[in-house]
Amino acid sequence: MGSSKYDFDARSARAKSAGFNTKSANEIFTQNAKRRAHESMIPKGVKYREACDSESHPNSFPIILGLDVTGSMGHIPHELIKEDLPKLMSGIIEGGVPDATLLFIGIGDHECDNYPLQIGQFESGDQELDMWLTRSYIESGGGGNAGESYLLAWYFAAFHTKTDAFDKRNQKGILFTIGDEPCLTSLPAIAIREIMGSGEKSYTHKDLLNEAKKRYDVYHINVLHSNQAIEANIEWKNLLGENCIAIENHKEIPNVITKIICNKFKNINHISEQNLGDLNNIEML
Amino acid sequence: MKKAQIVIGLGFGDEGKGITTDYLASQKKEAIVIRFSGGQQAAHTVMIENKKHIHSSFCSGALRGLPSYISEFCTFYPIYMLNEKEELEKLNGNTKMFIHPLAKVTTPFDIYYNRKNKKNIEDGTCGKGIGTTMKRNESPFKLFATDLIGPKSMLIEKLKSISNYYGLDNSEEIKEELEFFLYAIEKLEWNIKDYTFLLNYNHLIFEGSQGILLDMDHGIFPNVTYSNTTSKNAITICNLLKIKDIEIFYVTRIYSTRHGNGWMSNETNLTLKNNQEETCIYNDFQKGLRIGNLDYELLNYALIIDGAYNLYSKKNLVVTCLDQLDIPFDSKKIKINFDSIIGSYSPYSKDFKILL
Repeated sequence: MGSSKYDFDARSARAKSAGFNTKSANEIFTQNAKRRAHESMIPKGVKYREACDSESHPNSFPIILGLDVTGSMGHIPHELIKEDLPKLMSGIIEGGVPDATLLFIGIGDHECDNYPLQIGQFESGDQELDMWLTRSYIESGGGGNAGESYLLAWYFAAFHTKTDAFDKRNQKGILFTIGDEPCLTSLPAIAIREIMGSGEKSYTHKDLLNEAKKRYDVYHINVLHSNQAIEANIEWKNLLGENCIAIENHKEIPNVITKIICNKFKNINHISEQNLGDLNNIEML
Repeated sequence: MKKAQIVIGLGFGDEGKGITTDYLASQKKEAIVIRFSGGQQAAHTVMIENKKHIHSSFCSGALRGLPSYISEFCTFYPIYMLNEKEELEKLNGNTKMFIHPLAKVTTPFDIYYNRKNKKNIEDGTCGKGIGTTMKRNESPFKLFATDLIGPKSMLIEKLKSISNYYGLDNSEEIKEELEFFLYAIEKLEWNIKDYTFLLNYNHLIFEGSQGILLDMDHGIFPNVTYSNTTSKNAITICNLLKIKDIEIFYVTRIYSTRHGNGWMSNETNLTLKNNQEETCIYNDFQKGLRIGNLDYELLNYALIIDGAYNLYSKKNLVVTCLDQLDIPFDSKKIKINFDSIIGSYSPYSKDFKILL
């Protein structure tokens, strides 16, 4: 997956004809009426989602976007499809990351929701990205259990993704989760079995964060639109330090993401140039 | 020749399997009663003179003086078993209990997770850990009746891995329950016996749980029980023991009942009388008992399903609670030929009458 290019004109034309700007969320996210996740996004039995290099994207750069699809955050996917996704892609591409490949993950609550984890595919093309995003089921669940299953995104990234970036270039991808609640602190084996179809070990959120960090730089964008979100920020800061980005206005999400990706990419290139520079200084005997 | 009688609920449970089992037990004092589906969620009421007991882990023959046997298809929870044993002792019931080595043990962790999980509550759980126990036994974290008589240190290791499976390693909330669980295991006498033990008896009474419409294969998912509530398992045991003389007693109330969420037909308000002894009352997980007019189409449907599991059995129909409703039973609407139709007219099995 991920060999198509992002075509802004085609995207704009399709958005118009599909009515992304005018239609309601339930009209765009057609799984909502069916009250179930799309078959292709159910993670049960999925071994890997792969981000591979291709002719059009020789240096694929994997980015995972874990979107909270519970009650108070379910509007974010709608904003993304309305206008933010092309904004985000143009920011990334123009910011010097031409081969970004994006994986959408829908996150709910494994203690309460029927579909706590939905998984798209790594994609770079406008059409494919729109497809996976609009296929997501905005379950609007969650529950009064002081958290959502952001740790499921970490679990999936750590154990069920394969990226050429890491395997060929030893380059970490970037994983974002976006939400307004604390992270649930444990993922029991029973939940993993229900969601993935197999699994024999329980994990704490810290275990999974460490696993995900082996191949991704992990960020959380905490949208501070409620007192609970403000309180949650303390725990998020403890977990992620600087990689917890608190924002007051959700409109900032595409800018924040673009900035992090482009900075990270520049740094990676910068460092490798530097390394090369150092090597060049070594006098060959 | 050995004989088996099987009691099956035709609806969503609460049909009167307890009273029917007691009726059969009252005719055969040397029998043993066998549970072949479900587990500790049963609430089978038996009243004999001034004694009343709601059987849950023990079979509905205990009050009548018959021993109980839990087959491999069932779950049980030692704490409930101990509590019920003490209740039965006060009533001079038979507390002799035999258990198949592979019967599945519910742990405090199964119950805790069952009650915490909102999805289970929506599916109609009664919060006693049956579904979680059955599902866990499909994972590598199994616990069988035999594990209760093995080395204690091994049992502790198994319990540790089960607590990890549920992510409850350091949970303070269930510490007390766990201690009582281990105490109950110490306190109870464990007679672990495979099916050959049943050959000591000439008369076997198989007591079903719930009803055919809640069967995991035949009910409407997800509002089903994690068990085969048809005669399937009982027939399997009869076949293993080569018992050919099998008689089935299908039980329905004169009106339909359902406890917990899920579809039911004909749900309506009915004016009932003489129902002061109703066992199926409000609980936090399933809320109140739902009732409706008897759906003969559903009765016939359930009978066809069960017929497929027992080809050569004699069949009887038991209609309970006939004293509670003024609408009579219409046997013409039943499409199966029965050897007999029996009616019950009070909470006591002595008031059973042959109708046909």
